[in-house]
Amino acid sequence: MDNKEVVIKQIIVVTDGESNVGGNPVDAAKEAYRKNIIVNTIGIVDQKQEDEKPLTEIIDIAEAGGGIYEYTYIDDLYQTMQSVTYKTVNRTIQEAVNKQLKEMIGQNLDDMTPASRSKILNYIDTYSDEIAIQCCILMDTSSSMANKILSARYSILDLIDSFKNRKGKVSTAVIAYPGEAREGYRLVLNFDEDLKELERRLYEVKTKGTTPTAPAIHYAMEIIEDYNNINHPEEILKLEDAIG
Amino acid sequence: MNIPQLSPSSIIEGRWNKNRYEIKEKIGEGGIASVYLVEEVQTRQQYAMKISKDSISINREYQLLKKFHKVDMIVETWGIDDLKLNGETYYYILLEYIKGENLKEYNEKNKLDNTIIISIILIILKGLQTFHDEEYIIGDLKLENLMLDKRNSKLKIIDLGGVVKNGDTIKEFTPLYDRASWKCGERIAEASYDLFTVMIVFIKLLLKESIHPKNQKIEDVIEKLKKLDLDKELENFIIEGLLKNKKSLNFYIKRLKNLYNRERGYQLQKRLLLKEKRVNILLSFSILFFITTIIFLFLI
Repeated sequence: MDNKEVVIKQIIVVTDGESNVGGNPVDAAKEAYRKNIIVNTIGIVDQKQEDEKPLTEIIDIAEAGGGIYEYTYIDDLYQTMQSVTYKTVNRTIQEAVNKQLKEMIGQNLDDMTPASRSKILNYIDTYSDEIAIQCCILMDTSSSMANKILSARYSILDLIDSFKNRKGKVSTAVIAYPGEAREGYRLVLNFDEDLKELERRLYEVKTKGTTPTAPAIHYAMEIIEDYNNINHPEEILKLEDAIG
Repeated sequence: MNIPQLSPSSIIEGRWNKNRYEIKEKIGEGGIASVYLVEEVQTRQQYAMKISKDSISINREYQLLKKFHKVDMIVETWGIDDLKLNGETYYYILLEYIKGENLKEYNEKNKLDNTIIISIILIILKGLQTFHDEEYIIGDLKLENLMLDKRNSKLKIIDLGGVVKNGDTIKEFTPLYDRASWKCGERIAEASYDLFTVMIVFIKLLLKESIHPKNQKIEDVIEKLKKLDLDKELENFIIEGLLKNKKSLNFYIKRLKNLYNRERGYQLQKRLLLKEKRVNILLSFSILFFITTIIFLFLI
């Protein structure tokens, strides 16, 4: 079995507010999903203001992007980014397996008794640590993030540090939005760049301006596709691998 | 991914085994699962039911519970099945219901003396050993996941959701117990990862104040520990477990056993000393009384 061929592509949108310029992020997420890129969202909520209106937009973006959403306090962000990634990987493999089961035997995992699906789930569990991931983090750096940027920075570094221990390869890119001047986004780190650069560059990111979520998602799609065109031809997960 | 709220006295049914359970109350909630106290309608037997949307993690936990069911610290499991709620499929495992408090609650309410704390840690370390022998790492060990089973006077681990194979990545963790959050190592499943969590449990039991990696460095915690004026050997034991935990678990267990005996020795000695003191005071009082009586008699 060749795990290197299969790559799970995901975008994680981290934000503490609603998008307010540059088009509809839900449409952007839909487009990404059509291109096999999963869009997950993490909404940062304030610990002190409990009656704050929930960030409903993140639910819509995740739904359109075939991903999951999660609310978190800024201090727990690093943990949430991890769990979102693990859940995405498990879910993606499970969906691929389901699709093929349906084709082969007209059933999916949920149609089987817990005892008979157990073996496949075990496999998915092991496999999920080996599969390659391409992960693009979209970090909201609008002015409201000013007092949270330290934790956000730490969370990104911690996530990447944690990826090092996976068996499967992880390529990470980081985009901050908005960017400098009038740009909608700023590329902090591209997929093939040296991770050592990241820490220094993260410190250069300033918080200011609006929240142009849609342009940032579009740009993430662009760099994911660019990277794939050069490096990885597409390949679909085979069920024979799963039960073989 | 959230689990719907189940209201008390509603009835749910296992999808495959058709067993019916009455919901009593919610007894726990974590990142991916909710735990309810349920009563099987037919037998009136009570269980803890762990419900999740994540079939992989439920499946994994069930298998681990079965595999390690002989270990004293592991809760008994009574089955795995699905639930259909509002058209969605959820997954559950049925667990032995433990009446009691978790160590966090217990520690907040009671003053535990050092010998008891050491014996708790010893029990945990021995439990860990059985997992490590089979190449598994507990990962997400914490006070909240340790239950005091008062009826059987046992200590139980109630959540195996974080257990992974040796060498894998740690997927579930709690910052307070996670060595990577403290910058004391990587988030990788190996014996020393578990040992670190045990040392934090140890410290949390000894030190009543709150600590957290976002507010403190590990050196600050060690400073606090030193102020407790513990037996020097015990202090070193904990610091080593935190910082240079390269030795095998067995080594730590042996060492802690010795420390336990020492600590008990101290306590006994202290008690003896106290007794002696009391006797001495009594004796001196009676002598004083005797002399005053004599003097008094002479004066008359």
